[in-house]
Amino acid sequence: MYRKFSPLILIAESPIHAGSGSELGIVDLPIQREKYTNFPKIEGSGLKGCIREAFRFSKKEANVESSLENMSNDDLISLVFGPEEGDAHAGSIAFTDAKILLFPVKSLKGVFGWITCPMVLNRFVEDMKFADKVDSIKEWNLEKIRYTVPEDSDLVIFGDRIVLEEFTFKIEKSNKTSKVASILSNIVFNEDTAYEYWKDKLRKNLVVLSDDDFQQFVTHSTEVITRTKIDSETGTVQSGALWTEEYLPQDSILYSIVMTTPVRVKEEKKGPFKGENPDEEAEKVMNFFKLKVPEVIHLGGNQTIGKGIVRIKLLED
Amino acid sequence: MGEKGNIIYKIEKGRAEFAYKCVEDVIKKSDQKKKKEYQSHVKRIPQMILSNGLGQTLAFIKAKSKKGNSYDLIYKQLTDYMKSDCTSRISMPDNESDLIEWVISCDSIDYRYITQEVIAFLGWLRRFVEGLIKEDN
Repeated sequence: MYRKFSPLILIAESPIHAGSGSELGIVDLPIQREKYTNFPKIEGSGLKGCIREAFRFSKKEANVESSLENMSNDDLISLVFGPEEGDAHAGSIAFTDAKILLFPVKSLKGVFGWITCPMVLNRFVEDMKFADKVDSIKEWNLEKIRYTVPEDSDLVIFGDRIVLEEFTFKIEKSNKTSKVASILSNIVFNEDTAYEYWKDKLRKNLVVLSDDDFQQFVTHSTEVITRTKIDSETGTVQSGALWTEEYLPQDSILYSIVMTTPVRVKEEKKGPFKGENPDEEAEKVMNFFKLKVPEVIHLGGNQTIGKGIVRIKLLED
Repeated sequence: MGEKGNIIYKIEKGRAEFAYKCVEDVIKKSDQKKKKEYQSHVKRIPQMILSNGLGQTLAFIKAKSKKGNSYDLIYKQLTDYMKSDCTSRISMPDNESDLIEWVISCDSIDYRYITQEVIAFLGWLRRFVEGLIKEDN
């Protein structure tokens, strides 16, 4: 039974390829998507594996006091994430699939805007209720929010139009959306002057479309690149070595929920995660996670060509 | 193409069957060079639509069309398909004669439906082309 919950915001600092293997679509190597909505997602298993790896090399000190002798970093990780080999016990930390929250789309004015839709926003509200975090979103009013932008949007032309990629939408400026955008910008970006620009951009350049439009964009506006392998002898493309890959674009924003339980080993082996009661033990696992999680992790495939750099932000309140 | 009533029960409303017939037609009527050309264009066009949009891509195909070449063939096949009753959300009205002329006159929503429709059709076409047009070794 999971006792402690903490939402995790994932910001794509470079394109992410969380691949689904191969599919019979237009793209040879597509990204993972939810079956029934076609929204991009990142499987919990991939997320957990990448975060586990990040923990192995994390320079951050978790300051855990161990009553057990010589508990190495790997031992702690094994207690929290589950053993690398065998099935002695399950891990005590869990990650939900990362769901899409905001998706960047080219705009005729203002370079790009972040799109979202009622379905995504309502899901986000429900998920935050489930995690019992981020009280500020209870102030959101999501009624009739389709086709609105914040009042001081930079994307609007002719007073009530926005052009995203090659599609024109008639939209309204709304103070409800201003509120949603300003709360989102506080949720997504760190309190740091370095992010002031991005915070401001999100405050202004959020666009709430309809569910259908959002589905269209996340289906057809991901990045698809063509790759080849050059034969070093001839200097031309090797026969059959040309393929396409799909990426979630840079600046996509997703979220996942981290959940913890007490570590699942005998009392005497719990080491630093031992506590008075299960709640306290789950709390200790969560604290270990929060202290040790790096700000930037690598997620998904093609890391050697600079893909999959993701910034992580924990939501505390 | 079967009767209208039955079409709903076929794979993707007969879209697959339509694509198969298009490729079969090319195989029957073309020499090896034209087959190969057709194959490489069909494989490239979906990607072009994703990167540049349907309007731009159709304009490109039309610009490259000469009577009887493979671009011309593809343009005709796309037109026939959009006029057929295998499409799911939108089809080309009978009084429209030119595909691109109709496409650019549509509003945003219809334009997006047509894009989806054409990509879905090309998805099938691409599979069949790969399977039916073999290397000439």
